[in-house]
Amino acid sequence: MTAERDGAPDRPDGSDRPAPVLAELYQELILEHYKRPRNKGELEDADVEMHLMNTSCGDEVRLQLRLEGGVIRDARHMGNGCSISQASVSMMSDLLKGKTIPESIELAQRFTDMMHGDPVAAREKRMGALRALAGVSQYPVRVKCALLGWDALLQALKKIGGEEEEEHGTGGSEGRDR
Amino acid sequence: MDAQLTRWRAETPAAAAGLVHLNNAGAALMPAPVLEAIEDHLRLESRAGGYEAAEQVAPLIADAYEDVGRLIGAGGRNVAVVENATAAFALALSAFDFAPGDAILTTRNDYISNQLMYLSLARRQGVDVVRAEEALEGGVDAQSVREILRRRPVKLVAVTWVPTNSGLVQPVTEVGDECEAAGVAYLVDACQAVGQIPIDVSRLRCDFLSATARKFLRGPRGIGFLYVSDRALADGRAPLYVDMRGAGWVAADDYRLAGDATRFENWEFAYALLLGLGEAARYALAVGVEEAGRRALELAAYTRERLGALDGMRVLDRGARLCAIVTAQVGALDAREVVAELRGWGINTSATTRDVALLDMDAKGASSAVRISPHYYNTRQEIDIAVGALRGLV
Repeated sequence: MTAERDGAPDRPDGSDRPAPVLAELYQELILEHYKRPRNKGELEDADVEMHLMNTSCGDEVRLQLRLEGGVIRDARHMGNGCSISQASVSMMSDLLKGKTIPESIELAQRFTDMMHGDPVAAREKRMGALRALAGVSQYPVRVKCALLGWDALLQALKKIGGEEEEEHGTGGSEGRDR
Repeated sequence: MDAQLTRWRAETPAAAAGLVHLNNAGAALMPAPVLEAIEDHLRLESRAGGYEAAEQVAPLIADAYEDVGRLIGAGGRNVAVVENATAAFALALSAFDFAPGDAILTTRNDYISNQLMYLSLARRQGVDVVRAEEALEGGVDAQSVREILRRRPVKLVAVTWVPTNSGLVQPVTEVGDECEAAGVAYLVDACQAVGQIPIDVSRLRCDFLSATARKFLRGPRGIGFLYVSDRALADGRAPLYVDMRGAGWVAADDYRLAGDATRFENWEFAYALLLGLGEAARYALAVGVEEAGRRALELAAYTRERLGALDGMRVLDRGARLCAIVTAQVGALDAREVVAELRGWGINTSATTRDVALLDMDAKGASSAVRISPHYYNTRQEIDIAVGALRGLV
């Protein structure tokens, strides 16, 4: 059951609409991440940190990443806000570990696509638990809650890319290793 | 005008368009995101079907409960969503099995519908309705509550935090301390408090708290909520008439209550309004209830000062602590006529009459009063406009 929840099961008919039971599972999954967030806390040896606040609703996320050889080895977050913003960043922090920077950017892009109503993105296995958030796309006013942590991720990765460019004079965003 | 106020007013289209809305104790103007949340869901219901729409947005529905919980320092599991504060209050009362001679300890300033419920319980169940003494400056005297609790057994203490007919703020935290010490259940009506006074249910030590969306919280009409404490849930408190939402029918002659506050809910309610309520809670959290209350209070104090300087105007608010509700007797005029006159000029206020607050209005010797209730998105200029209009009427 736990594995199924964490993996956010597919609907048998392949539709992006959650079936009633699935809707309950999704709801539980989000509340589970909200009440018991994964990877919450400080990273002492973070390579990059990004703090973002949604001024219109007060939601707040501070994301820290540790990378080795261009791969995200650890991701931690702090902050507060609604269950959507906090569950989203919690799920994200789980998925990021072991991903390269390009893979992380691609995941962020697919999640953004899902939040903008892309039904294909909402069915992709690699989205894992994030698929529970697909229903949020119905409400433009709440999409920014779900995207807050991802915006922090993209800005953090951009920061790394910028620093790297300064250090090595390359245009790429990979290969940072401290 | 500072940047925050400019933004709040821009997100309140009617205020930005020039409506002087000083009836936030009646129903505040909804900010745009609240309206948007409601409209979005109604549109989704029309596209997908009502039940199907609710399934699609289950996470946002759950989030609305959590956001309302955050607003009062509770978890989502402690929140039951109901039609309004009075319905919430009645559900909480129905969780007690009153027998003849049981006492409800309340105040002289409790809201009319609550007073009527106590009297109905007295008439039908033989309950004793005991009203604690007033403090000299107005509002219930917590010392009197303590003495009554020492003197006689009491089944429930019920207090309206802010009565609808005046700017009084009752000392609900102090009363909560007395209830805790005496081990008596405590029900707080926070209908006029939520959105203008920060609420932390753990500080209030209450078992139940009822509230509405439409007033200082700036949510939609037709929805409210009931906070149910973990203690009340563990004690098995439940409404007299349990709905299929609140319990499972587990055997021919048995049912099992929901583990959380949904045991107080009905299966059917307006999901669009629920999402509007959640958005209103989030909006209030972003503004900051403390900041909202500070601004509203400052405007109310300014209103009292300006009204007090007018000949023929009598400000009626009494109490050691006042809120953003200002009531005043306008000469010998019927307040309802005054309100109608002001509305013709694009100024929204409301009237309170003796019959909705018998004890308080008689003590003040007033038959009616105009009620002016600013909120944080109002301005001093709007108060000046309203006072100018009233000056012409007195």
